[in-house]
Amino acid sequence: MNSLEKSIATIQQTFGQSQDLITRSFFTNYDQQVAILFLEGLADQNKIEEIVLPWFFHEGDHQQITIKNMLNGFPLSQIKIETDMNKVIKDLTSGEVCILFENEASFFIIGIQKWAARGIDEPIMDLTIKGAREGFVETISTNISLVRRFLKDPKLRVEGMSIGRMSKTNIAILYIEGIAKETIIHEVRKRLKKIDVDMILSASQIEKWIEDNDWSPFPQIRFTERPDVTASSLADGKVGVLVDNSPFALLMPLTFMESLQNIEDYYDKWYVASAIRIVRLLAFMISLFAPAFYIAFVHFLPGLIPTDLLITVISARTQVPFPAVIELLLMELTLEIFREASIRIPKPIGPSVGIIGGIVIGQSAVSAGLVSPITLIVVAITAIASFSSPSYSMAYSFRLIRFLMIFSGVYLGLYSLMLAILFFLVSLVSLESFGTPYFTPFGPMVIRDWVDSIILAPVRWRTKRPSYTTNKNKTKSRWRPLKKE
Amino acid sequence: MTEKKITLTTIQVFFMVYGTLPVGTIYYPTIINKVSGQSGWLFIIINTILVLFFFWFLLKLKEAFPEDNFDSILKNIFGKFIGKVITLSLILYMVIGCGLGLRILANGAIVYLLFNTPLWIIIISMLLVVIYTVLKGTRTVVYIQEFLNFFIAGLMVLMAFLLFPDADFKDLLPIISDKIQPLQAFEVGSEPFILLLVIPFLFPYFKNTKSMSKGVTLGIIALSINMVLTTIYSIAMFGTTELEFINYPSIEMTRDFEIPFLERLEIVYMFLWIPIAFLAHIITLYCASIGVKQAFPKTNYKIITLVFAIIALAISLYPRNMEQMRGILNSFHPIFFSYWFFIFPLMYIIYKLKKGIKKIFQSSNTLYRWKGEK
Repeated sequence: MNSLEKSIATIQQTFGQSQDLITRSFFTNYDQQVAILFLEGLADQNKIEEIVLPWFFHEGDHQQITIKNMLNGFPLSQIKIETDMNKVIKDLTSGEVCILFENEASFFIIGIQKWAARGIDEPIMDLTIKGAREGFVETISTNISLVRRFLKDPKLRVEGMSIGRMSKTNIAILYIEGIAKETIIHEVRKRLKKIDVDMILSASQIEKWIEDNDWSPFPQIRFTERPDVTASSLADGKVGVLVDNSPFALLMPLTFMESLQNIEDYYDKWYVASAIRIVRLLAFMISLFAPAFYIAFVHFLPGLIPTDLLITVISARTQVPFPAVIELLLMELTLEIFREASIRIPKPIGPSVGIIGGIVIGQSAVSAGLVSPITLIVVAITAIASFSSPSYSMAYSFRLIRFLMIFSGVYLGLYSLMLAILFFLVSLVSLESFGTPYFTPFGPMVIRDWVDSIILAPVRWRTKRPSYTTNKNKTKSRWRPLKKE
Repeated sequence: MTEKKITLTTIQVFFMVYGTLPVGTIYYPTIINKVSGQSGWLFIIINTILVLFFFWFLLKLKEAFPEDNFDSILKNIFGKFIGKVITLSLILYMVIGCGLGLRILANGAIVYLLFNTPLWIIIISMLLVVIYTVLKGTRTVVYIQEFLNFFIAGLMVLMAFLLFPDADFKDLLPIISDKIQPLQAFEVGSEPFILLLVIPFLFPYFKNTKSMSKGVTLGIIALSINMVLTTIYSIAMFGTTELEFINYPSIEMTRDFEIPFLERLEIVYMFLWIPIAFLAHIITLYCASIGVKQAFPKTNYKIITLVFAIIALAISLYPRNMEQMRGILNSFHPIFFSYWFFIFPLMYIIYKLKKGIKKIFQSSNTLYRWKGEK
């Protein structure tokens, strides 16, 4: 058994005679044995048949093929020499093609991966009207190229690494050198390197491993399916992470106020965007506190409700056998079940279930005297308000926190609700995302960053990058008023 | 506490000082009205001027010992034993302050929100949130003070505007009332500032004397304006005679808000007052805990906080009624005076004397050596 056959045997043994490991061995006219190895379905078989094999037969006709020949004359760009067998195995699993020569200790690796992939499509969650319609896909190289299309800066750095003992998932850290804070880049690198796990299937799993506080209900890393959002965040000094097989980018650090923001805001007039942000903030508050306040008022301080309204509330509740809190929890729970079910219901019957759930059950519950119409209105408004958040993760957290608020409203009415709000604020203020205070620019107060928080100031005032993402190269635009001719 | 060192910006210093707004702000106008009639606000202003003047000594102490905490400064000036005694007494002052603040809050909550709820439940509920905040450390305490005080100050200004049409400022005349009991009025006039004794504990967090001077001065002025306005408005809304019989004038005057269809708007003030009380509790409990940490660095911050919280709970439950609690609170005034107007200046004077003596010694040594050489 010569060295080539030994290497083939080692590789085959590593893969356990796996059926998809293709080994093609042949002799050239110079009687030189050559072997091509690749995993079926991961490497581009057309290129192997149309470029790789013909080249060997052609070149092998009139000379002995060496690594040097190949480096100089092989007609594909992604080629490399590998000597370490472990790295060769890793390359094969990544879809690369391995070439072995008789009496040659090195392996020649050709990068011609090709596998079934979804085409670029419109994002599902981050929808815009005026923005680009492209979303990330499951292929990391495509995602990097999508970001590069928005950000043609040579200082955009893409650092690669692989995570997962078995999945060996490719990860890319993206940032702009000279703008992103070194401390944040270092922290991201450090946390990613510390991940020691068998499998990484999605960007969300990476998020769970690297976030600052996994007990906190608030998302500490931003998720986006949009290359334009990723590019603009990188330009602001954030650090991005792309994960192979995941159509999401992770952006860090994240602040609470960013949950109010949407890329669409920057495409509208500043006052329109500001008004929309205020509406979102109100919706945030309604989705969190409305049921809790309702309970606190009805249970503890009905005297605070204006007399006319109080009469309406009480007369509506006279037929209901449960206390207001049970009634509310019953409806909230029903709503959560509907929401959960609606995700898994097949699309064609989804609207029908919505109608049954929303109208029929709601109406029937009121007619049967199980709930009062007021409670139904409170629950419905809360549910609609919770959908207004641009951040999906934040909306999920708020659903959970809302229940805690309801319980606090039941405990000691407005007093305990006020304490719960304080507790909520303290949790927000104490949180950090990659060393950045989560509640900035309000705690700590950074007045410079107020121009893009609850209110979006005119573009001429937004000339600086956020203070928490960069400490050098702070200016992102210069305002020059148009001169009338 | 293994957190990174934080230095306070001027805004943060300002809000930390403003966060010492006492919990008793809801009944304060009645108390000062009893001893000074419609001239109560004058005594607050007199106290403000004095407090600002004597703050200069604290500033000079910080300038003289820029890297030291207050306990180390005390040790340098008075020696280890006396230094520790003063530090511990200040810590005790903070813990008692926290306990009494909790009691004032609970009494107010019973009157307006929780008519049949036991006192201890109200107090423990607040204390749990306070403990949670203090255990989170300096950053959290500073950031929450900054955020909440910003809104509190804003809402106070808004309330002043809303109440303006209903206020009758003629009740403030004559400016000098014939009811004035000067000593008592002067004593009660200092009440808005009794929690300013937290400042020495914050010494290691001040960036420099400039930021400390600016932040604290503005904070004291803001505190003063707040209390002066509350007092003036209470008199302008109720008049001095009626005010004597109102327990919580700050809350009662918000009844005069007139917004169609909304009733009992005094509750709005409760939403303002609970955070005010919360901030006062966290600053006192936090300063007591870091005070121990500064004096005895090997102690565990979390355990100290929990122990102090239990002591504060016991103190808050101790007074049988509001009268007894007021009695205990009145004993705070002389303690505040003795620290602010006596111990702090004395510290600076001793420091200067020591420095002067050292200088004389050094120059006489030089002279002696010079003579010897000759």
